[in-house]
Amino acid sequence: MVERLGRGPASVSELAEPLDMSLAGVVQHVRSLADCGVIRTRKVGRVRTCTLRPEALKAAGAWLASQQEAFWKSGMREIARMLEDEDRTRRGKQAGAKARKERRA
Amino acid sequence: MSSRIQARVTHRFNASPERVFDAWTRADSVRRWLTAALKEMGLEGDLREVRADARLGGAYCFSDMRGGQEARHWGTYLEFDRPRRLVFTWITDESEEADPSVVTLTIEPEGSGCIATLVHDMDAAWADYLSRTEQGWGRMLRAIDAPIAASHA
Repeated sequence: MVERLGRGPASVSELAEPLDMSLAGVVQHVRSLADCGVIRTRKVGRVRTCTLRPEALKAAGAWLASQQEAFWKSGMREIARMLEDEDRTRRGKQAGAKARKERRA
Repeated sequence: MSSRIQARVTHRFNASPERVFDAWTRADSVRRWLTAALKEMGLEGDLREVRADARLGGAYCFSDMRGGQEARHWGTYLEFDRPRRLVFTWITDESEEADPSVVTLTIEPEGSGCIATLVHDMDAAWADYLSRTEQGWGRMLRAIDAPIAASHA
């Protein structure tokens, strides 16, 4: 629905058309989107027209950035973990070799 | 009304800049940490293809399964200055090819380790967004839609 509104304003029935949803469900969804400020609606005669609010798109952009940031953050964390694992393995091998050498001596 | 949005992350490593740089550009390393990172993000972390032609102008790609579908990510290395600086395009959909987002990784030595800073620069031009609503941004907008729809399903 939000995606459709990204292409321009639409009436509630236009929004409902491609969706596999009851009209009541669509009306409810429109109300939720309006309540949380994603869209603006205006009724002219019997037709209610919905428009995406630019502020919502800005918020969406911030959301996208935060999602991407979370992804790179866990990437960095996992790289650190991987390198620490490598260090541990290497230290383990060195310690093992040293112990064997000492036993032989 | 073109504008950019940026994601920025800094991390300190107890490892040399070379090792951190290689972790980003070697396919076997990328597979290891990416599997864990994707899982951490709540995704399946089921990596399929991971390729990296680690050189200037070289291409990389990886794909992972998300709900039975293969999500592909790809790009090319715009700058390849081991171990200081790596710049690559980050594309998740064909519609982004013309104006891809760009990731810049800078690695500076610090003490016995290094500090890596990553900046992911993305286009936030809404006019442009309108032309590619079907993909990319559309996917994100659907993601906003879904929980709202689910809340009164």
